Amino acid sequence: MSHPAIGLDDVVHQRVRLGILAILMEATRAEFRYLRDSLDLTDGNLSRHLQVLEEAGYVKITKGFEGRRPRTWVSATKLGRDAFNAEMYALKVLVGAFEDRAKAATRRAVTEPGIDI
Amino acid sequence: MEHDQAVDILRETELFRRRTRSARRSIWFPLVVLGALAMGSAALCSEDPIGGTASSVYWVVAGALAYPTVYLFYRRRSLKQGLSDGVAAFVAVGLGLVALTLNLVVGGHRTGNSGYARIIAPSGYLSSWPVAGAVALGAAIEALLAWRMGRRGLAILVASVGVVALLFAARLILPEALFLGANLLPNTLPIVVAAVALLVLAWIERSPGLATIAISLGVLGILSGLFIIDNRFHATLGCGVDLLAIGGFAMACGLGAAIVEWRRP
Repeated sequence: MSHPAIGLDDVVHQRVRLGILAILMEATRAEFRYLRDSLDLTDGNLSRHLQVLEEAGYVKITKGFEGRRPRTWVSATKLGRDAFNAEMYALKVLVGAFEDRAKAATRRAVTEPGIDI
Repeated sequence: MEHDQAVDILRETELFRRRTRSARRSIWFPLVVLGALAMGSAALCSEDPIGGTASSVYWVVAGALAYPTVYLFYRRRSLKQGLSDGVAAFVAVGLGLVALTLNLVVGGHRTGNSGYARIIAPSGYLSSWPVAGAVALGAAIEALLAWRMGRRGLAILVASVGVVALLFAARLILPEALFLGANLLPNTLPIVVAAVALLVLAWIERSPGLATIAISLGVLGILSGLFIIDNRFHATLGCGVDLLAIGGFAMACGLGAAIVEWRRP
């Protein structure tokens, strides 16, 4: 039987990157500083994670100016949204599988005393 | 990966989503604007179901100014906050409805009928088909873009606005006997139309509160404006008083939302 974690995407399955996509799922686009402050990251750290997501085609980064202030906007692509949804689904399946196993083990312990759970 | 770790990640992700939703959501400004416009229109109230051209012109001008103002408010807010949403869809739907109305007002002025009354009066459809067709086309493009962005719900909502516009253009909505026709006074119908646009905004903002307020405004607009003998709501409030009451309700909801939003951390 394959491990339930087998369906997880390595690019998305990282707490910070998952956090970035979670924020982008709720907004058309988010600015670099909003992501940095919300996720409590340094500029360099966030940049590296965004680069990984961008290379995978999960986010689109747009740089520009509003007045004289430079702005970097990040938005999730369709691929990124699909990857996030797939990751959430895989995590829920994983949690469900763990809980099913725990229930089965408890049942066995009740019906067959002496078995170590 | 362990069970607790997976549960923690799911919980943390949901927290990020909830915080972002809460930070992005702002519904007070459009409600205050609608409330002010409704109260301002009370002076133009007309009891004549096919009259009220002044009121219609007022709402067309007000709508043409209000939707871009709301857009600028959201744009300024998004630059300040660093989060932006698809509020342009709300403005597009609102301006589409204004364009539809403008055509009807112009047509109504030519024929002596009220613009807003003609929106729901079957005789008004044919003259408006180019604008209704343009609204349907705009909605189709908007729905396609929303669908490609993965916002399926919004796409369906915008597409349904397009279908309604198409039906307006094709004179296919309902048999005349089933239709409200000119029984709905033109004074409160703009509020019903604005409530439709607010429903789109509620969808964009994923705000059940705004959806409830929009539906309430729509129901209040129909109840106070429906000019039939069985409608006691229409008889209870005098012309203009109903607009002040509905405008006051929208204003109170907007101010309430503003207080909640300012208190938010």
